[in-house]
Amino acid sequence: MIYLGQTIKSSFHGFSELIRVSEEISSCNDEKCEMNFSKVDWFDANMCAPFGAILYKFYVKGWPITVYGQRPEIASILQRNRFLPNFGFDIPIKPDYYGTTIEYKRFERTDSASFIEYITEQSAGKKIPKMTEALKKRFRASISELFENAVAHSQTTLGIFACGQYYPKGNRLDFSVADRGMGIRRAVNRFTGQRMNAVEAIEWATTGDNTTRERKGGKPGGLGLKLIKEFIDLNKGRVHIVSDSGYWCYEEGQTKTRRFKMPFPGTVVNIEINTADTSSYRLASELNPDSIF
Amino acid sequence: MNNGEVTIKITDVIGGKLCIASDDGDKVYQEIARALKAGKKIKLSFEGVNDLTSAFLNAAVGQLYKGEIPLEQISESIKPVGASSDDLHLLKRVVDRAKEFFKDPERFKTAARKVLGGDDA
Repeated sequence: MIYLGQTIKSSFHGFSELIRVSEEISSCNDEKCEMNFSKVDWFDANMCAPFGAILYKFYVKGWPITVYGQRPEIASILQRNRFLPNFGFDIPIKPDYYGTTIEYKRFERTDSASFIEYITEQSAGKKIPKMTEALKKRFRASISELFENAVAHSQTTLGIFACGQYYPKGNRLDFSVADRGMGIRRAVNRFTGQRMNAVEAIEWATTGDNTTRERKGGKPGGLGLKLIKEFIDLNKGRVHIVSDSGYWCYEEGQTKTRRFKMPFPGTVVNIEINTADTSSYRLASELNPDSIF
Repeated sequence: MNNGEVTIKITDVIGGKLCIASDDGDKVYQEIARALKAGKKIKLSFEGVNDLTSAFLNAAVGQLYKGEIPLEQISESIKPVGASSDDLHLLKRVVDRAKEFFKDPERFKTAARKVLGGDDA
């Protein structure tokens, strides 16, 4: 029996809990594995993206994982965002009456078209309420950059996992994209020939123009995370990156880093935006179209 | 219409308004590269574009700078039209970055040395 901790939030502690669960499931081998939710009294729904990335590997192997003991309010969250039903647990979908859920979904790395459909659908109507159009647009662009980053860099064969949640009381919207790819440390070290640890590799990847894109016949890269950081600065939001044993959090221009005892089996990027932001995001200067290229 | 000029409307090329995916950007790149190789001037139309990412633009225009087409020809031949101010700013950043990216490949690798090394996790 594997017990989940009391709170699973978008934080160092929350990610640590998921990593611990991942390690414990791995040690089940292919025996029946029961996950007990009875101690859980808070689960940030967007954390279903990294949780899904963890579970999916075992799911495709056909390991018999069952869930047990979830309180009604926790079960309801994981039913509304379709996390539990999508994993084949015999639990029905619940309608999202509050319009606060951005559905949990897995995408193939080659299926950007489905992600675009997902964004369109999840952005429509009441799905992401109480945000200005300018903010919605920035938010959609940011999560799209995250997805395309995972497509370009993860080299995963298990897909890309996405989930989000609107928290009306705190005026915040969290969205997470996770993969089970090679992780930032391996990608950066392979590219640079250095031996950075996981935190240093994340710092490298989020600094300046750095990118692990190869030039030969390729496409330029390295702007996506920079654009997200700029947006988050203006919005007064927050970004978490978890990759391998590295934890990196960016908020109010400050970066906090830590190391996990055990690695996350891939990469997660979580953006948290302040939905009460009314900035126009209009840029002051006008550019001459004749001088772009 | 001038035979030497072509309008490439991005939303027509990708069949939608969301200019997000790198793969869709590739389709636009193919159209632009084909027109440039035929010696045509290009009006690159952003009309109807809703969302736009750097990943899309890196594919659509960033890879024009990888060396197959002379920089002067790119500069003289492509004009963006119908772009919002935001989209134009993003396009400018992607183009500037692409020029740097292909001009000085080693710069990006040596930047790693500025980060202190350490043991693997």
